[in-house]
Amino acid sequence: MSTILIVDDSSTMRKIIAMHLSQSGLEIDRVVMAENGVEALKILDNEKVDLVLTDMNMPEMGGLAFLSEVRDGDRHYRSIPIVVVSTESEAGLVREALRIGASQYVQKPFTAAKLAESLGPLLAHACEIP
Amino acid sequence: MITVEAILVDAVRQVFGTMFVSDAIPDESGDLGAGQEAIGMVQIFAGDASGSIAVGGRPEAVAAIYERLLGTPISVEEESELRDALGEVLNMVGGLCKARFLAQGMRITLSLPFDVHGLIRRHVAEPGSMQYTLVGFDLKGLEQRLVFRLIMER
Repeated sequence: MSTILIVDDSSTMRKIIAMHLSQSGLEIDRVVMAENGVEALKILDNEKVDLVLTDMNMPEMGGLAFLSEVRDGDRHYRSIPIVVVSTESEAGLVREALRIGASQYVQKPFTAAKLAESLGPLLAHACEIP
Repeated sequence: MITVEAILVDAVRQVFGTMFVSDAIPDESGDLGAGQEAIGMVQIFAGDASGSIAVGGRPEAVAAIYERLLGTPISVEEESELRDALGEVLNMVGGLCKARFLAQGMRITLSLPFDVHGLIRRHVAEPGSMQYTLVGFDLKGLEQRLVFRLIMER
């Protein structure tokens, strides 16, 4: 079983993603939420999280800055899988997200099936790591 | 040359088809109904071209969209939550429009959604360099309506 962190400035989108996850059949026992990268880092500092879903365009700290903070530091969670879920379609920004350590990129709008398909293998792998 | 209207209509229908498993049928009217209170959200494009995309709907329409998205009813009094939901719908439509503009070679950015108050109206006059469209959509299965407006100027 695993814990997922959803990072999105829209409360509606956080709820939509959480709903899709609960209906996905994936082995998830807890979902925690943050409004931006700053809040997400605080949660990661204090809780065990197995996978992160993050938006790109958010106030305070966006997805790219959040990815850099997680991957560049020497924190215990620096290798956690991070899936970017965003409306962003600019190829350069998507490439940059993958270059600095996004594990997957899911474009909004998305279906529940697409989300589960992207997360399944990452979650299985994350749960194998003690 | 793809018109802004075609870009907008494709984007709205894609969002509703994917997120709502529903269709949004465009029509000629930009009206929500005379004297109706509207919730509105807008995003700004900037870069090689500038402009905006906006959406307006009656609180009852936005509440129906929220309920379809999340499976839980919401009061029309919860304006903050309704604006968040409408802003996210707009954000997805705006993101798809941006993708189409990028595909045409424009380098543009899109702001976060923010609130607008008052009805979204048709412009009286359009400068020659401006492409402008205002389209109403009937949301199938929801029996509700939203109006989108897209303006781009190079």
